[in-house]
Amino acid sequence: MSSSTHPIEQDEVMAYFDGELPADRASTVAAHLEHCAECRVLAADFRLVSDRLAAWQVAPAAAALAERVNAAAQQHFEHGKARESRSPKFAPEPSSRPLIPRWVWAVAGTFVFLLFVVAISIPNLLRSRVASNQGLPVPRVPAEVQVVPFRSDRQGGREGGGASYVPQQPSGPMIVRTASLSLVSKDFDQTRAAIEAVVRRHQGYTAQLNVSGQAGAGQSLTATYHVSADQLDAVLLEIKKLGHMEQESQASEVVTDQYVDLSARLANARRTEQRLGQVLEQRTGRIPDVLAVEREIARVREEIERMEAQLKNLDNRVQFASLQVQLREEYKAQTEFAPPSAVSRLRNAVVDGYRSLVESALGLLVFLLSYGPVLLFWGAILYLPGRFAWRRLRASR
Amino acid sequence: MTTDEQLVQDFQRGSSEAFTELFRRYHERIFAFFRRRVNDAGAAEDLAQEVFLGVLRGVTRYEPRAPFRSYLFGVAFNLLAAHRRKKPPGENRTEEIPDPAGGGNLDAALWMRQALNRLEDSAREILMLREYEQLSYEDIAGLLHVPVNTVRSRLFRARLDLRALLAPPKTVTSDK
Repeated sequence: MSSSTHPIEQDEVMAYFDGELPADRASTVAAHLEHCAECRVLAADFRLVSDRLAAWQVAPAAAALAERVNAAAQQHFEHGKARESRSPKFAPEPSSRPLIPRWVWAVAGTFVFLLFVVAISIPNLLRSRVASNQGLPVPRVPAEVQVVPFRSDRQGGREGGGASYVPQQPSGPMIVRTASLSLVSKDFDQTRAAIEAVVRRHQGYTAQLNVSGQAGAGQSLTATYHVSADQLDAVLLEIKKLGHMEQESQASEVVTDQYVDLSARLANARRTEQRLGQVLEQRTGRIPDVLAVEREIARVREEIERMEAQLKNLDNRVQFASLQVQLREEYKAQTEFAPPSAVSRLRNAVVDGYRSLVESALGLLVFLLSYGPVLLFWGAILYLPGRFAWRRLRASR
Repeated sequence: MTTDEQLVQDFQRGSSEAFTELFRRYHERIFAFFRRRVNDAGAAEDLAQEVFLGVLRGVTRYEPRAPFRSYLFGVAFNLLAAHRRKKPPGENRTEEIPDPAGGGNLDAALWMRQALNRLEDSAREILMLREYEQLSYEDIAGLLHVPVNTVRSRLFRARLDLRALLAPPKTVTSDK
């Protein structure tokens, strides 16, 4: 069928026969059919096929069908009228099949109820336990039991069986002295020994010492010495003679106020401890009250001990000055040095490569072990819905 | 004459007479729809009954955008698909003997049925929906979820194939 003799397609003839063409196209086909015998034959064939199809007749339905349907319709309309009297007109009929099955609603409702019960019961249980503790009465101590009065066992000689505690006042300003020296010496070992001898001679001691010696450089020493504060000047004078001095510094810190304040706080804490002891002796309260007093006594005692240690530390710092010494050996450079060999470098490269390989393999394994189960879990869950959706999509196309 | 859509609206307002008239107009066609596709006449009646019961229950879901005829055959088509899914696989659903009281030539009907059996399933269904149920191309496309052009091309091919199948066989005569 060439387009020059047939400006229409064969299926358009069929569509014209079925009445499915738009009006303008139908008129075109009709005009063509008047002049084209071939297309008229085709249209006649379609008509013939339809006539032959019509030969297949089906017996009418049994009367029982109409009876059953009419009975159901009658029942439906009677039920509808009864419902109309209760509900507004034109109310939509409920769907015979709920969107979400009823058992799903039942399970969800049960779960929400249980969650609500747990959420409100846990705080109530906790509160009832605390209330029950508070309600317990404490029996009084029998008269035959001897009550031992409370006493603090670490009061530094200031205990007076009820006497007040007076804070210590220093006789003069309290000064903490510090100094630092940097020396260079040709003979490191000898100079180091000489420094330590000077410190010992002036009733001092080594608080910290660090000696290092790197390749390509001389030895070095960094030390902190504590010497008697009134001997510090003599020690500095002697140590400076042991080598070439590069740097010297001194500092003084007045800690009188800090000492007085700490002392006063300590005295107060001791008085508080004594009063708490008296409270514990004289009153017989409920168990929670007794426990609270004992906790407070323990806290005050801890504070007292901390402040005593601070005072002692201040005392030490004032009595012993801190001297930091840096001693450096005069360096004599070497004329030869040995670079790493080629074999060592290659070996190191092989080792590094092996380590990288192992690290990358381990990293991949860790990733699979960490995220593999999660990926499998969600993949299993989403596989069936995804497959179903894909099939629906393909079917719709 | 009251149109189907007007009857449906009356029916939605609660008119039992409207439903009765709709039933009278379509119950034979619906029954014939099933009878041409289902082996057992009793099963065809049950399915036809279920169509109208479904209309009774769900007429509120009908909207007059499409002809009532399309809606009704859509319900019937879905019921037929559900019925076929319950059938054991492999059973030939078109292997039935047409009722002899069809008012036509039994041989011609038998021949037609055999010719239809030889068509592809989708082509046969489109042809039957067009020829027997008188559905439009668009209605058929909506029922089968295929484009209208696909309906047109398959219908064209089905008619040509059926024309070839219905051509009279060549007879060989011999002189006695």
